[in-house]
Amino acid sequence: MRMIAGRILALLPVLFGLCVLSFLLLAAVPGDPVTAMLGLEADPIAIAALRARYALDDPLPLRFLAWFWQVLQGDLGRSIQTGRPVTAMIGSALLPTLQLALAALVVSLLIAIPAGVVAATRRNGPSDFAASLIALCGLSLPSFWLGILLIMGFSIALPLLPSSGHVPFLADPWEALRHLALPALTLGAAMAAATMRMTRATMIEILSADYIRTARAKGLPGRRVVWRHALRNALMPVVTLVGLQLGQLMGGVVVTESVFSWPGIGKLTVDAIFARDFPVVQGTILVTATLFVLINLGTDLLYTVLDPRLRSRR
Amino acid sequence: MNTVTDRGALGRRTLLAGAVGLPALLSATRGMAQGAAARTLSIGVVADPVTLDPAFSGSFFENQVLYNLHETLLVAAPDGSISPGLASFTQPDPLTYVFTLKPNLTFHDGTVLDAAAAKANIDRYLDPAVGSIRRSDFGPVSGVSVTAPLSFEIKLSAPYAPLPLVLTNRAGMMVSPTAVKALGADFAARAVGCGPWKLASWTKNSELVLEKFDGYWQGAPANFDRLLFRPLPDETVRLANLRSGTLQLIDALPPQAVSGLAREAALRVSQMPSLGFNAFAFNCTRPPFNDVRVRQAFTAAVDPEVVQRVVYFNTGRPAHGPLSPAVPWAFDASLPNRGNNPARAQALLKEAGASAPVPVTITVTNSPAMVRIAQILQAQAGAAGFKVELRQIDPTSLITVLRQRDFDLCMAPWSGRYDPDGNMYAYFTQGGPNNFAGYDNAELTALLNRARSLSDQGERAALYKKAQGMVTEDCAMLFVHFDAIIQASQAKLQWTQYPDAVLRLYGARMT
Amino acid sequence: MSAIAMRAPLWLRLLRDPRAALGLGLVALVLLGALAAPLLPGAETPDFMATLAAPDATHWLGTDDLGRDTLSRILAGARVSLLVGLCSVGAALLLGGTIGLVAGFFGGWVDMVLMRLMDVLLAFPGILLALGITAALGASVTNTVIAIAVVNLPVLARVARGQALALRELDYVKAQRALGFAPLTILWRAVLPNALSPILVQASVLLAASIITESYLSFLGLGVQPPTPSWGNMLRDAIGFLDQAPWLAWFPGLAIFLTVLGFNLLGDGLRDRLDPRD
Repeated sequence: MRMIAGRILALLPVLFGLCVLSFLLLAAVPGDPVTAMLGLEADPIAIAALRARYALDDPLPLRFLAWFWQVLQGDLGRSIQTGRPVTAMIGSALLPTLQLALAALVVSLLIAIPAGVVAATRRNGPSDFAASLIALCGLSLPSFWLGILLIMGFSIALPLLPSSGHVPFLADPWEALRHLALPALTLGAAMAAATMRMTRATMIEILSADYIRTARAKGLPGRRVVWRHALRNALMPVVTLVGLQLGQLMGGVVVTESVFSWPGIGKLTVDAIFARDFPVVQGTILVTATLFVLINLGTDLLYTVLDPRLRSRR
Repeated sequence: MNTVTDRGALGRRTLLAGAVGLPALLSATRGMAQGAAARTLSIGVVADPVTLDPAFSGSFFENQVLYNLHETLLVAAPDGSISPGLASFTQPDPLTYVFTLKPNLTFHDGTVLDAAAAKANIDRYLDPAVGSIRRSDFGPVSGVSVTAPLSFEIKLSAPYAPLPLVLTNRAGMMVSPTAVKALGADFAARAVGCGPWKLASWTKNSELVLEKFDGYWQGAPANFDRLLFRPLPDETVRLANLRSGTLQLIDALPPQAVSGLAREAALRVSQMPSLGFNAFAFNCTRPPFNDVRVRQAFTAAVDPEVVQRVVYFNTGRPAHGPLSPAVPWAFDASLPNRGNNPARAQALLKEAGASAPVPVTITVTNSPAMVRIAQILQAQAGAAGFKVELRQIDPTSLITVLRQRDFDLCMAPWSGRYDPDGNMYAYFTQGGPNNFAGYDNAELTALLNRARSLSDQGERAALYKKAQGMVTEDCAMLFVHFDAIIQASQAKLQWTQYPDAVLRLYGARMT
Repeated sequence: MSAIAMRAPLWLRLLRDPRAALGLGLVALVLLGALAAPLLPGAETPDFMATLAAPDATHWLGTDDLGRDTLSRILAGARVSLLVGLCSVGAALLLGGTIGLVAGFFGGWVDMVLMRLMDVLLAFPGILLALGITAALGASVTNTVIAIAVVNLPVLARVARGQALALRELDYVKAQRALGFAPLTILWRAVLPNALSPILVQASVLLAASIITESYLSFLGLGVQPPTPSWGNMLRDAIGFLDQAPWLAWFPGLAIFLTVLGFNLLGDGLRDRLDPRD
């Protein structure tokens, strides 16, 4: 318990540093939210008025402290561009991202579990090679290219699936799934390699466990032992560990959401960067990074409980 | 497209049935969507609006929603002629405009639109504390006063011929003053106007739905109950959705798709010249382009005809000046093509004293078409004695780069205005807000000031012809192309195209 | 390192593993392509009369929207990808490796400060960090390298620190300490050589990721500037013509895919040979 508290305490300076870094970075990019908003047609007086309203002419440290003070009070501020509260914007973007991540997880499991099981049962044979090759292919496909290929194939050549946009699941489950299909496939392909490695390692561990040997010794058919008994025991740790690794997927999420105009946290962040909407950028980065470090912490803790490799090494 | 619940029910049923093959199932859904599409018009637009508040609307693509949600005081026809909208006007003297509103006008929220409400709107646009970007549109407007319940007066400090046209644009949009007060910062996302359609729902980056406003002054829209706007930034995707029948109308069809689409009977491509220009600003304030001969050399080196063919696939037309053929009375077809003459370019460079290739940087945003144009300029100028480098920036940096004159040659495209003043005054007068080139010509400034104060079209045309001659002779900017407005729809959809590319859909109907 | 693993030279052992052999083959192919690029000099020569030509005998992979030969551009793009990948990982290796080794070896507040800094970089989503840096510094090859190096930095620093932490406790290193050798000498002579292989394994995996990041930045227009071809900006050009010239989108993507796959396979093979834990 003390260790966990210590780890969480150590996160605070990291998050603070992160806020400073993203603030400085955005300030260094030419253009500001007002010019982004008012465009080529803007009137200098209007620009000055808006700059004053958002205190953009204050010295940088002052602007940062003003923002940070607000955050300490639990308020992420309002978007300069849309005037909406940043918390609300993040809230409404988080759901589509979670949906996408979950669907991608399912896709990656569908690819990786069979591949991982086959690889584990025929260790170092040609099947193992083929399975790991397939998983690595998924990892090596640049998401933005895979996205383009899928759009070319399934939205243009065969107009079967929508290539962009998001439909809330509750409004229309069928359309929601249709819109989810291509982005989930794109992101899931990238996740499959890690999932497959995890499945393979876990299965190898479990297949050498005593109760499996006992089951085999009792004459149960090999296939049944592998797919029923061993996989059932491997599934839980694999799904948990892979789920926790969603935190590391932010990069993939950003690219996938941009390609498919998926209104999630990644697209929100990128759009805000291009609009120099710094309260939104700061907010999304703070929230995603907090999630990221917390998930990492959780993974570290759970690994010791779940990962057979680590367990055996201790 | 049918309603959301219909599609959901169908989806669940077929899913339960289970045995239907995926493609069959999907095409069934699509057929359904087409069959029940009658009352909703689905439109594919380039970008999701940032704000629905006309006071702060800066994005060109926002107009597609704004002009259906909001109503303007005056209305311009596709040919630029002005007629009364919410109000009619008279001009008793050069410095006064008197407006009379139609009776019984109300906003979507029931607030009455009377002279006081109109004054509140214009005051809001003008108030420096509000910081509206419409403020500069009003030019020398000095104040608004209510003269009767339905009449108000706009006073000018100097004659300003473009004012009526300005009031057909976003500056003429009337929003509910009650809603502005009540909603505060949320007004941007929940705007209340008095156009033919009112806001029903808006899921950011996904879909924006407008529904018909029964209290619209010309009567509720008769042919569609709903307009559904889908932001689809990718042009290929917009087109694919039109082909599949998900959308009935799409904005900004890419030029390369025009010839292929013309062969499809179910679809129709609509084209017309746009009001704007695609041009690059020379930085006239620093070497090498502070020397007019170097600007002329660069202009001579490049050929707008090649850009027209390679980038625009023969849509629109090459530009040799700032005024578009969409405004026939001011457009000058006799302006010569000063390009496609590398020999002259080399001679001019020699005259300017350049012994080695002159290094210049072209700055463009990362828009593929602009990058393509820049690479053509690079190749052509490179062959005529320049050493050209490209610099891509993201669109938000563009205005900063232009304002700070941190460039040699930088893209400075303009969406255009019906009045030629809108294409020239801001760009070429000394201290003009869009004089990114830093072009300094007192004679031209005087001429353009005079042209905006006259009301006789013949006199103005003569002045603009002279002004175009001066601008192109001095090569203040490198004019490249007059883009065409290219939009596409289902062939069955009847609608009116405008040279400002805005989709005004009150009268649209299916045949 | 076990005695058996040291027997045959590394590359021979790699070739015996079919995955690593395939990886080496792919990487060799890309290297060969990059070296062959000067033989096909048409990468930056537009021909406005021959735009969007389909693959044929003159242009094996067709021409792009400005009439440039796609094959020449793919080969020239290989140079850019390899250059950016190697430079950005190399820079991160030097700096991140040093930071990690120093932090792990000395421990205490040095470790504390350095690793918290690295944690800050690590918590920043990599692609956004790279995007922000290139947007702030301006788009160019050098700035792309800097941006990707910064993204890679904390990853390598963490691996190096882990190694140093473990090695610090070995009797052999403790003995050197007791003998009074200067810390930097011990770091250089005893720690670095033994920490190197896991760091290199991580670097080869990062190389694959870096090539993808470079292509994405160029795809957004923030990386390599035209007319210099990079696979990323070729893809960006291609998406306007998916209907008219789909091949423009196939080949650059395929080039990225095969190159990245090569480095990933190689990294996996290296991991199996060099990193006994996995």
